[in-house]
Formats: sequence, structure tokens, C-alpha cells
Amino acid sequence: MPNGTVSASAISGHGDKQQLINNVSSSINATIDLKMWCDQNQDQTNSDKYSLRLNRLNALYTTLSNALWKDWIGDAATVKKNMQAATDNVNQSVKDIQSNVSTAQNIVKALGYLDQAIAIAAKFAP
Amino acid sequence: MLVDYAGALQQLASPGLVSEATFDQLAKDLDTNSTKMISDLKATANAPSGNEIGLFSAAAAEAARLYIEHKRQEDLVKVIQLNQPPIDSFSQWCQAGVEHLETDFYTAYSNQMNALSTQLGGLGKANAKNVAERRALIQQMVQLDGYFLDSEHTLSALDNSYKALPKAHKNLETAIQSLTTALAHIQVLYDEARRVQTLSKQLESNTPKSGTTVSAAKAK
Repeated sequence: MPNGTVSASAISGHGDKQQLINNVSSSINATIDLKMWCDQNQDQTNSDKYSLRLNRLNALYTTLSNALWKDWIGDAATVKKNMQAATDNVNQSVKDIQSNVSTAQNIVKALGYLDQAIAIAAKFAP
Repeated sequence: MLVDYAGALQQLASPGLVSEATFDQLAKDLDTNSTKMISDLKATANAPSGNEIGLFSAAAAEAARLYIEHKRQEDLVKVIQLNQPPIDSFSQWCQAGVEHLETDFYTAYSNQMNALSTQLGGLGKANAKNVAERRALIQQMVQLDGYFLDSEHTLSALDNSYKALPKAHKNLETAIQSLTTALAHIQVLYDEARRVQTLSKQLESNTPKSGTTVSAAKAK
């Protein structure tokens, strides 16, 4: 049975980086809420400040998100190779079983010839 | 990838692989040969009866079938144990992608909603002059909401499927004690893989073609 899988640890851990972009995303949403509140209350000065902050947070988010996607896509080859190896394992088992079926058929046929030999021997028995 | 894998498992567990019919036919052929010979040996007192020879051939065919059936179950257990780590990794990788996509969608949605709100605020209070513009903006906001909710729903369903995958695969190991149950479990796994395929296509077709496109998420 072939087993060409790559160890699971070879696949990057995304947890910490994902947590980081989740936090930046939350900050973006909080900033949007604050900016909207300022807009509704005609507070243009603070609205502009939040706008600036929003731009910076979005730029940071884009950088982090792109880097994380790059990591994720980088793992695709490993994941694909592992899944292909897993599928190959199953296909090899199917082939083994098919080969066993064929061998068993030959054995059963041989046993049939043995039946015939016994019968012929019985014919000549005293 | 998952559909191919589940398809291969289906083949390994399929009744057709170790078909009773193949072995039954073999036993029948042997039985026919032996019966013919017995008829030639009618005169010989010591010859085994036709029934005895038929039983011998049938027993051999049945023994071979049972052996292969046993071997198939062993192989299925072995292959499922061997393939559990790649299935776990695959599931984690897909979940990571879905989680990231959800964050991208949410962030893009918030930014676009903010842009539309700002535009709406910029129009000032509703009056006869700005009513058409206001209506158009509100419609865009409603569309954006609908698109976001649809995508969220699809992503959540995808996430659930990927989360359930390792356990469903592991459960096959115990289900294999009965091939009928195993086949049913593999069918579930296969259907789930097809569902994931459909959901992914659905997500793609959800993407709006108008100005409300969540560009950051779509770019992925």
C-alpha cells in the first residue's frame, strides 16, 4: 500500500495570523461605528480623524490578509499531494482486492480440477 | 480532491468489487463439470455423489469469497487509519481558508456599507430633489445586505462540512464491521463532498456583478 503523505505539521498553522486579522477587522468595524456616530452628530473633526484611522487600518488589513492568503495558497501543493496519496492508497487496495479475486478464482478452478481427479480416481478404485 | 477520495472509498466498499455473483457463477460452472463426470461414473460404486462434489466446489468458492471479503474489510480499516492524518490536515486547511474568507467578506461588507452610508448622509434630509438618489443608495444597501447574508450562509455551511469531515471519516472505521453500514457512511461522505463542491460554485455565482462587488474578497 503506497503512503506518500507529507506530515500534517508541514502545513502552516494559520491560527495566530488569523487571530491578528480578526482583531484588525474588529477595529475596522469599531472605527466605522464611531465614524458613523460622528457623522450623525455633525462632528466633522472627529469623523475625519476616524476616516484617516480607517484608511490606515484598511491598509494594514489588506497587507495582513494578502500575506495570509499567500501562506494558505502555499500549503495547497502539500494538501493536494497528501490527498492524492490518500486516494492512491484506496485505489491500490481496490487493485489488491481485484487481484485477490482473480487469484481466488484460479484456486477455486484448481479445486474443481481436483474434484475431477478424485472422481476419475474413484472410477478405477477396486 | 475530496470527491475523488470519497469516490475511491466507494469503489473499495462497493458490493460489485467482491461480487457474490462472480463466485456463484464459478461454483455453478464447477458443479456442471462435476455433475457431468458423475453421470459418466454411475457404474462405479466408490465414486463420490454429485451432491458431495457440488458441495466441495461451492464451499471452495464461498471460502474464497469470504476470505476476500475479510481482506477487503481489513484493507478498508487499514486505509482509513492511514488516511486519517491527511484528511485532518485537509479539513484544517479548508477551514482556515473559509475562516479567512469570512473575515475578508465581513471587512469588505463593513467598508462598503460605510461608503454607502456616507454617501447617503451626504445627500442630507430627504426631499423631492434627492429622493431618487436616496432610493438608489438604499436599494444598494439592501442588495449588499442580501449578498452578504447569502455568502455568510454558504460559508457557514462550508465551514460546518469541513469541520464534520474528520469525524465522519473516523466513524468509517467502526462502520466497516458491517459493509452495508460502511457503504452508507461512505455515501454520506461522498454526498458531503459533492455538497461542498456545489456550495463553492454557489459562492462563486453569489458574487454580484454590480457596483456592490466585495472586491477584496472576490480577489481571493
